[in-house]
Amino acid sequence: MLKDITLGQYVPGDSLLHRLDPRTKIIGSMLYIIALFLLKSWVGYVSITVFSIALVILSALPWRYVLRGIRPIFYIVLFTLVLNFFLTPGEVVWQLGPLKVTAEGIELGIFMGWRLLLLVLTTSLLTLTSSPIALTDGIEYLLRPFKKIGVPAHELAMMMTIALRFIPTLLEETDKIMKAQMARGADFETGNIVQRARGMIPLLVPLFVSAFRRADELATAMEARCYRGGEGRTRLRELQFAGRDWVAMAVSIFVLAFSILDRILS
Amino acid sequence: MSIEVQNVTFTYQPGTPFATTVLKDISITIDDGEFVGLIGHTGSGKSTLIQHLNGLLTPTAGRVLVDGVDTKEKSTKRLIRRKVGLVFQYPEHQLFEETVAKDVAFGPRNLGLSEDEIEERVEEALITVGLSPETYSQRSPFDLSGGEMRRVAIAGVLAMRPSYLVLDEPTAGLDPRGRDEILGQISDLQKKQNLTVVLVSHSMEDVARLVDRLIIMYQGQVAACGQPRELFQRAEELKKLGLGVPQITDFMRCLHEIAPEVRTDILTVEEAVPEILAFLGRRVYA
Repeated sequence: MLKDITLGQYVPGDSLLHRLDPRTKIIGSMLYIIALFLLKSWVGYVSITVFSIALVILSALPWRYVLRGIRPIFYIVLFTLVLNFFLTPGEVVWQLGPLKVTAEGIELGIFMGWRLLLLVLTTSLLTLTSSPIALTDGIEYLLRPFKKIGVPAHELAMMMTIALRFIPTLLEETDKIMKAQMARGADFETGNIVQRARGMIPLLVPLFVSAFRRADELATAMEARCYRGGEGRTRLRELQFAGRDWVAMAVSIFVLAFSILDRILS
Repeated sequence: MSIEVQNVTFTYQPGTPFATTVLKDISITIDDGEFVGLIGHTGSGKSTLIQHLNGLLTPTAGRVLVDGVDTKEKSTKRLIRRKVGLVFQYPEHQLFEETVAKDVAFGPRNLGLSEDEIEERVEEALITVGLSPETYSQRSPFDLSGGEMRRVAIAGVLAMRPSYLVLDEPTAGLDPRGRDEILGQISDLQKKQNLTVVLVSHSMEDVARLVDRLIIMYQGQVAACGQPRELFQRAEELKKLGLGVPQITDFMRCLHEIAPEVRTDILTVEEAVPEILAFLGRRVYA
């Protein structure tokens, strides 16, 4: 169940998306997100959906695997749909007591839900096709200009890699502790909200204890290897822009321009 | 009464790029009162197999019957978990309560027992693992030493009074003394209460002297099964499976090569002593 969360899990491969420079992918994802929130028309949504599907195909990842990453946000999407259906003022198409469903609400709800789905789908491609190390390198490089105003670029990037790196580990740990407590008769699945929240204590306490222990061990291991931060550190792999990166950038900018146009025209 | 594993196959994360089949068509039976050792190299599927014994995992194909009840049955899941006590690897990582007594009481409390009964069981379980209730019950489990924490965790499972006890590498990371104590207590428990015990390990030394029967796993399959003495006669085969025989057995086999009258089905140093003395005696007086 917990292993179904694909966000933050890297799947090694050799597709075009895998080979792109992480900086291209990060900037591309950001432009994509902005574009996604600028879009207003049906045509725009259909186009960006086609574009997103093309990206998944380019990534050469199995569809079932990519789609599995969407499953955890199913309820959020449902919630968005329902809230928009009922809370948007406009022409009433269906009424039940004080609850009114409006035509505008339906349209807005579908747009918002669809937006969320595409957002998670496409951004999960970023972490699925780039190794955490490549991602950090990219983030660090992109944050470099902000160093002058006191942004600790290297430290931030390091924290992010560590966090990403430990998502699967902690999930595995959670799974293990859950099973150990279930073997002692713990129940995580039934009961009302209060009972369930209380039922989480036997899971959360050991999980925190182990997360702190791991953090401590990691810090010691890093210090033992003379880690002392970003200043003067050289890299094993220098990031280098290739022809495909320029093309990908151009495509991203085109997508953004398209969405701006869509916004202005509709 | 027994646990029957029938043609069980299990695949982790089916349908993803990470899909791996870790158990392939496994069939074993664990009889009442038996002391079984489950041995295999790292990654041979031991830990996955034992999670099937109390229904934490259910087979992709095949079935597991505990006292005749299928572990896939949802309604009897709690009953099966009570019957089959499972002690995970590094069980001290599951401790969470403020005091040792409360932590050990977690299992019995989930069974819905009365406070008196819980208290009695906690006390009994702590004594069984060699921790005196007076000194330990009110201490925080997080202040204990690694070995003590492990015992508290084992007591937490024992307090549920399972009829089958499954332990996954209960001695991993312990010093030799801690290891001997825990194994000794498990062995006592098995003899005194006629408990069925499945002991998972990758160390032949640990289990050889204790168990009635050994099940050897290799790459998700049962590679061999039988009494330790019989199995250790096939030392070469075991080596191919990434397992050795106990050092003393190895030693006796070497001795056998220069002195054919020496027995080779020796499992412990204690057994070997008279045999070696007899050999030396023959040499001296010859």
